[in-house]
Amino acid sequence: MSDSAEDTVAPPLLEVTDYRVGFRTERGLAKAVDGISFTLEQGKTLGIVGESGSGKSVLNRSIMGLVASSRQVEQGSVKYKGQEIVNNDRQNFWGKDMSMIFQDPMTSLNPVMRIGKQITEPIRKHLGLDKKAAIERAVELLTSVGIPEPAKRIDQYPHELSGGMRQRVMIAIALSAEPDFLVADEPTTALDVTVQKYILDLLNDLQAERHMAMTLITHDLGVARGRTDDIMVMYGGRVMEYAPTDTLFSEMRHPYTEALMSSIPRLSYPKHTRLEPIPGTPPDIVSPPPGCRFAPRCKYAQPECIESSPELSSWSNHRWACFFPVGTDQGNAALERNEAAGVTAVGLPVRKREAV
Amino acid sequence: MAGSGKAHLRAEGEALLRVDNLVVEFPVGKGRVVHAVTDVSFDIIEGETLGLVGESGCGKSTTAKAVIQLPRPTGGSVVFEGKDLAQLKGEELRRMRPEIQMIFQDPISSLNPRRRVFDIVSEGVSVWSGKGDAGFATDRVARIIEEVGLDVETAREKRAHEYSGGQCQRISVARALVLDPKIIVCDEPVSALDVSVQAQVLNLLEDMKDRYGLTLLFISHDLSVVKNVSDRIAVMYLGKLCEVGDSDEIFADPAHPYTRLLLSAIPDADNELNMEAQTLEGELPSPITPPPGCRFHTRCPKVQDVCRSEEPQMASTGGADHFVACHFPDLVESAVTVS
Repeated sequence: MSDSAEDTVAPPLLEVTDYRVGFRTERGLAKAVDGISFTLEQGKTLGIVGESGSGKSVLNRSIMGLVASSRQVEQGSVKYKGQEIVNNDRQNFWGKDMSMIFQDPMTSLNPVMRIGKQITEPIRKHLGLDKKAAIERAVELLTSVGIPEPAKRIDQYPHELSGGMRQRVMIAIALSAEPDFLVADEPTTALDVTVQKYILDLLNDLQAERHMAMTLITHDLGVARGRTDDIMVMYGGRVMEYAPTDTLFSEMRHPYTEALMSSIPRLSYPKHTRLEPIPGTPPDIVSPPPGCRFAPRCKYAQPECIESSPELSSWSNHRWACFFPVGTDQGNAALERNEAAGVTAVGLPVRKREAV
Repeated sequence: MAGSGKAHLRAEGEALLRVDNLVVEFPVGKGRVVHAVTDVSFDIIEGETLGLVGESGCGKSTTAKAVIQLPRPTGGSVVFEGKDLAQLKGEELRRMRPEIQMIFQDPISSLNPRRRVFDIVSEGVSVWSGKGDAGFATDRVARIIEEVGLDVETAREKRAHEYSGGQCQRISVARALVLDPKIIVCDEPVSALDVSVQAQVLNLLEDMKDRYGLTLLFISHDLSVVKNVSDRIAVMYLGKLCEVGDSDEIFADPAHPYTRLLLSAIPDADNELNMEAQTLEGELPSPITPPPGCRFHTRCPKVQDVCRSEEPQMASTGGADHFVACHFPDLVESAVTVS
């Protein structure tokens, strides 16, 4: 996305270049985020998709400077509105510039503090309003996130609200100081489908209204589809594929994206359709495999994949890190070779696909 | 929603498990009562998977627990192999326990982290087989641990906390299978798992179902998962059933307004209903004072006066195996003209 500099005069809202986050452990450095680059423009949404342990949460929390660990090692560059923030204190960005919604609305609110106090605190700190004005603003915010009887709610405690309500309060708090960049870390994973739809619609509306940039972290490709402009698929701390949302679903190139898609039960499948799980386990991030991180679980894997690690391609806005991309001649040939041999270069058994 | 009625039940004797007029209530003091499950009836034929879906708080887990008599329902009967479990007491009920097993939502907290996995799985066998045929029991445990995809030797050595979430759910499956049950109640078995692991566990459940001729009561809030594993689906709302039927049929032509709203909320690329700009308005009413008439009337887009006073009864939609409890169901056109 750095090559789309032709019509943007101002620096992009967020420019991440070769960003690395590691944690010192007894066994060595756990490379949770291993050289990630992306750009996020004002008003856009980036979906970040991957399994647990892919580094998607660490990436976002580290960008925000929320990982308070002396064992953390941060390298590379993250520019927020052109200003370098890596290894700088990011606390003065919180609230007004960047804000975050967490996964679990049950535990991210303070259970012994009234809703009103929790919303007015950032308002008073960041916008400098007095108590009365802050309460008025809090009521406005609660109205904007669709909470009925907001004037009554501000005197209630979190336990008096349902999960969906609490997540709306979280959104209200996150948006209270009008941030330009919002991180939504699995905002609906703990919620029912109906509430999930409401919250995602609400985030979309508020984002459009405020022209805010957002990263939507999710393990659910269905959630990311239709709610994002671009999607970044992460695995083992690296980007496997990066594409405009529509392109990703119509011409996915990375075997991992394909594997992730085919492991999900889809509504169009008839009942008792056999799912295709991803074999094996996620990589060890302390001593990852030398080649492609996904090679041990990949049905396309060739000797090349074990020896060297593919770079993320850079010739278009659809990028992938794979020697044998899905749907290309190389990819098809690789899969055919593996199917004929019954095993991949790594030794993973491959069964021949049945004709659909 | 809806309602009561038993039009959706199959002939007596045909079903392996038949639940009639199940009521579960919890007193909450001052004479108030939570009506968790009210007058719910359903049945499961041998070898069938019944999916129970609904939002949190609709009573689906309570229903499942009432089936295995933990705790006992307030009213109604749960007939399994001709015996009403709700009436059985003490030793008689205990004798039935191996026949109906359960798999819980959180695989990690449902296993004792400090016990060896082999011991966890063999606990049921050692309780039931006495001391006589210990050798047979050990063989069986070993075979089942292997069948769920775990290594037996490792299972003898390692303790539950050394296993990942997906592996723990495999252990739970093994623990449920080891007593050769007829029915397994699965309460959100894959909700806590990652998508790729979820697929593994779902496939495992299907394999085990085929191999052991199991009958499953499968509870989940994830509609795509339920659709995939179930033969028949029952949709619950606030302690009542609103729609029951063949899973493909319900997903193709949802007849109840609540089912429609529920399905339209699924974030799935193939979801045609997702295009509908409907959203479920308002909050779930309190189960302490459920709305009269159809319980869904407070949030229903099609509500009429009759819905506020009269409870709809389960009736056929005209589809082959599709029943709905609604005064104004969305019926497929062909079905309407036929009737």
